[in-house]
Amino acid sequence: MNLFDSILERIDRLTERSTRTVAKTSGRRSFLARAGGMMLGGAMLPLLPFDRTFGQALAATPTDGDALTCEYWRYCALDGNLCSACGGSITQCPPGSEASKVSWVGTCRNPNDGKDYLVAYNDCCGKPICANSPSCLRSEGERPGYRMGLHNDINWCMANASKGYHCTVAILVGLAE
Amino acid sequence: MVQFERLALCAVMIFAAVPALAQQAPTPFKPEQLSVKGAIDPGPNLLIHQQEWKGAGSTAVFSKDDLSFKGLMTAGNMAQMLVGVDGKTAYTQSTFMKRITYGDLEHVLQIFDIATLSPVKEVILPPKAAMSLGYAALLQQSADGKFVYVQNGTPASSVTVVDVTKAAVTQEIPTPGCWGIYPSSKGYKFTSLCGTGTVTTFNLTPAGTLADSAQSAKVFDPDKDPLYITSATAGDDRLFPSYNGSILRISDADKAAKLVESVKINEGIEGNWAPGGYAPMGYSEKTGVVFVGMHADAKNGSHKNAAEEIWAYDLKAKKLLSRTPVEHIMTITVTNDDVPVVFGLTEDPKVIRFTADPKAGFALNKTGEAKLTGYPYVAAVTP
Repeated sequence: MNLFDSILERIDRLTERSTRTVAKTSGRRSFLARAGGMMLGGAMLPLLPFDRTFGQALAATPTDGDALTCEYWRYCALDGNLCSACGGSITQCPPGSEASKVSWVGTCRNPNDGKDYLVAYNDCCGKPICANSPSCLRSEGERPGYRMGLHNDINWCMANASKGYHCTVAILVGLAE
Repeated sequence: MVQFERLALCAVMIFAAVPALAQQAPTPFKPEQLSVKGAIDPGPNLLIHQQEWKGAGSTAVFSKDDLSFKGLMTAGNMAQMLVGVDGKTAYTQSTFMKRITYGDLEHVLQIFDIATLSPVKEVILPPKAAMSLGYAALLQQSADGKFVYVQNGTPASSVTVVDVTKAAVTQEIPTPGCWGIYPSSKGYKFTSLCGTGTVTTFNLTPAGTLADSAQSAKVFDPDKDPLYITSATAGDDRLFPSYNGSILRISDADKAAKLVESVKINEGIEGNWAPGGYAPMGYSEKTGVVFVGMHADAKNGSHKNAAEEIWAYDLKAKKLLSRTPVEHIMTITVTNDDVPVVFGLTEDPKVIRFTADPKAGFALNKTGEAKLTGYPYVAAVTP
């Protein structure tokens, strides 16, 4: 194989993988990278090393990337459909759904400041799977269910009264050590 | 001349046929009758659960030999599937919500007769079963088939034991920090992988209740080289693939589980290849060959990338025998035939049938494919 063919093959492979990531239809969730243990959606915020200075980044419509695509940096361990493209936002469940009581966590690097952030992925529950929005499968730092807080193959609506999986949000909850 | 002979022959045939047609009375019309086919066609089967997250899932039944389609069994949402030790029974554990995505919920173990594709019994479970993508390790059975083990996740982990001979739950066993069910080759115990890198053995009484449990020493590193929860039996031991490409052999023979050996199958291979998918490994006991779905340029987060190649690796000789390019396979199932048949489930999704060629290092030859639907990540064959 000559150099040109080799380069083309590599580009093909990268393109294919990128496409596959976007197109993949699965869905499930996980949670807290280093903190471990279970936590309850909003209640976890005070428990974590929370840098209040990125309050701006918690805005419903982030300005540091395209939150409507699977490639957005916060989605590095998100397996599911994006609430941001399903009538909610990056931090809000769509109207009429329920926020999950438990979540999984990823550790994602923000390319804008080079820092690693803990991202809580909460599912939104009680409605059909939102196949109208992009279905993402990214699994950086993801682990099987023996590290449940990092696991994204399970329905994180599991602790809610309404257990139908709808979509997933990605909330910054702290800076990773 | 030849043309003339043909014309003459046609003429003779027409004249001979005319009297026969003239004498034939019109056949009275007979309406067709609607019926239900009694049973599937005989022969060994391949069962694939096609999971759904928005309604009924289905277990598809194909001929193991040629992938001809035989029919479906029904299940609820987010189901797990298991084929009974008799090869004639199938189980699904799934979620039924009153309004499908909300409302009162039942977790149900359905017991099916494969021949008639019909549910014959069901057991209502504690409403705690793991609502997970399909993994074989989340619904298992004792070696004699008496007990079915259901992985729970609330998200706290536990296992519900069901005595299927009585269609009754015997106990819910807490399995904190551990995930996956790996029954012993005889008796009533199972092991589970734990987040500390240990393996816990849960020993049951003949009544299906917990007798005792024992934790192993640390046998894997969940931070640096986690184990997939997919596994295969090898004699009385279990094989587990790791994210980075090792195959661990773990024994549950003693009170606490032990690591027997660890073999790295990608040592010295260019391209940074590693296992990828949901169930990236199957084992052919008779040949001692493990088949592993592999992807190139592995990195943090690529462990669910679909396989670009399936590697055949001789566990005894510790030698890579062959590498077969494949299309985006997420799950591998290997039969226990003298010459193994390998089934791959792809992202599309579809099932691809391969036969392994022992003379070519068990390289795979594609011998068929069939369309699937939903999220099909668990497959099993029957005798």
